[in-house]
Amino acid sequence: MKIVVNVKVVPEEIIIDKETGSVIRENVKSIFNPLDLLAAEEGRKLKEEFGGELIAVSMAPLQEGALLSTLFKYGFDRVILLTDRAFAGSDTIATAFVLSSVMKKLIPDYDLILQGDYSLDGATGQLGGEMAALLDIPFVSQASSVKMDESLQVERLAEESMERYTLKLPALVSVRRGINNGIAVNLFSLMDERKKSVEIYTNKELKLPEGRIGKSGSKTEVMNVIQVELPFSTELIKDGGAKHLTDFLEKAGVI
Amino acid sequence: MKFLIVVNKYNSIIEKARQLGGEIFVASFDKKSSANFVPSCEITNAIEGCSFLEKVCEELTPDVIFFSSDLILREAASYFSGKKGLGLIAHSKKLKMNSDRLIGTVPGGNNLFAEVLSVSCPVLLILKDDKVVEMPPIKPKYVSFKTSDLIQRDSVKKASANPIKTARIVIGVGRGVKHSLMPEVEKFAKSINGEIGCTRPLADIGMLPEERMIGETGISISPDIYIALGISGALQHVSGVNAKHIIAVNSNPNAPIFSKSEISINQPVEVVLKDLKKCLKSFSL
Repeated sequence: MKIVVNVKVVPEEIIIDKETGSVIRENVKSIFNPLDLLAAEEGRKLKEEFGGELIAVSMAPLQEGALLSTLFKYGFDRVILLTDRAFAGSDTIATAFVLSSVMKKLIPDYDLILQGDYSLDGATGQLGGEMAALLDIPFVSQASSVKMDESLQVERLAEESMERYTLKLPALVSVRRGINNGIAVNLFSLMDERKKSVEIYTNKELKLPEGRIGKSGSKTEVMNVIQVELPFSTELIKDGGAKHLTDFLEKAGVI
Repeated sequence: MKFLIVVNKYNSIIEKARQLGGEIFVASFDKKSSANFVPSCEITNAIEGCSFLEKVCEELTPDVIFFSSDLILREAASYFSGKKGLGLIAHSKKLKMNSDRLIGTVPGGNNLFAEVLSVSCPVLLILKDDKVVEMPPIKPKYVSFKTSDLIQRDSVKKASANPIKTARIVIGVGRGVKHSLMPEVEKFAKSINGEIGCTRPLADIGMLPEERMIGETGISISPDIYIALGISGALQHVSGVNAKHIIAVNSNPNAPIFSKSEISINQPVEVVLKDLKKCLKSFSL
């Protein structure tokens, strides 16, 4: 089974440049989008049971290669970094175009694509559906269980019901919080971080049309970012906290 | 302008669309609901939702398509956006017109909101639910679409709703709350009609069930008031809390939670609980 996990690299803390309205990435630690690591764990389990290959694909700036190479120790066989200035500023539809084109060009024999339901920084949750549509494959989100027999069995929690789906492969599934407890370092793969290297592809190799990628391929524009400050007080109450709490609850009409 | 509203059973977004004026048409994924367009058979997945919409759009050519935020509609919206190469504006809370262009205000977490516009037509927008409006009966047009053999829904089981997701007050417990204090916390929660949630470490040791775990790998909540007891405030936990007011109790003056809390009580949890019994009548009973 050839399993691909879309892994997004996100800043650990979202700080907005109030002048430009964009997310500041300088001097902010990069991490893997937590839900994508849950997807990775589902992929690892499927590979363990059925064999095959576990491949990570990430569109990120070149300097994230170091972080991405740590994916090898979780048991990934290949890690593919897509990086090009031409990809910068892609919205979800442009990103979906890049990722689906990469599937067609580099991993045409994939069986399953897994990813988190949404990313910490963008949180639109749209990439999965858009990518599946571009690949003409079935798609289910909010999966709470992913199993394989003759076909793929997915359980997911919709508003107030548990739904069970059967999907023909290839398919794309995005996973929800709590599907598992995350992925652990695989002792057998510990050395792989040094032995294997991240495969880097730019648009020179991929040759994707400029009108479909990056800013020019994007169909949505962020006009403005507004930060709403929550009321908070740095003043610490050292004594009589219970009274402050009850006064607040009373004022809020709770008691 | 021609607006197409796409809903599933209940129409909870029509009010917001109406405020913009224009001609409104409704398509529903549920063939029994009151709408201008309904499917000839049940829609159970994104592929079918997408082909139903393609058929509706052949008849209507809308300028804007609003989707309510039910899961199946969100999936169909993104699938449709991918198929047609159209921009999709996610989870808009507010809408405004800016010289004939529609702008959606999208929450981005951490109290950030982005104003997003789409440069493709029709504009696709997922709207956060508002209040449900009873629709007057309309004679619907039954639209037949291509069903898919790639995906099949085998069963739907009613799941119980998680009370912590809809609670107005949530009390979060973290490592600073000893196991022996839990009965007191429960009594306190009951006295103010609150639900109890916890951090990952507490769910891991089984002090509270996993469906009570708030945060990145658990559930996310949006209560009016969040009372954090003995919670340090790690990002993985706090990112699941979207509360209007945060009250924190922690004996560590440097706990990161204090940078998010409106009322910051730097006392041991057991002391505050003991004192609460004195000032909170419903709790002392």
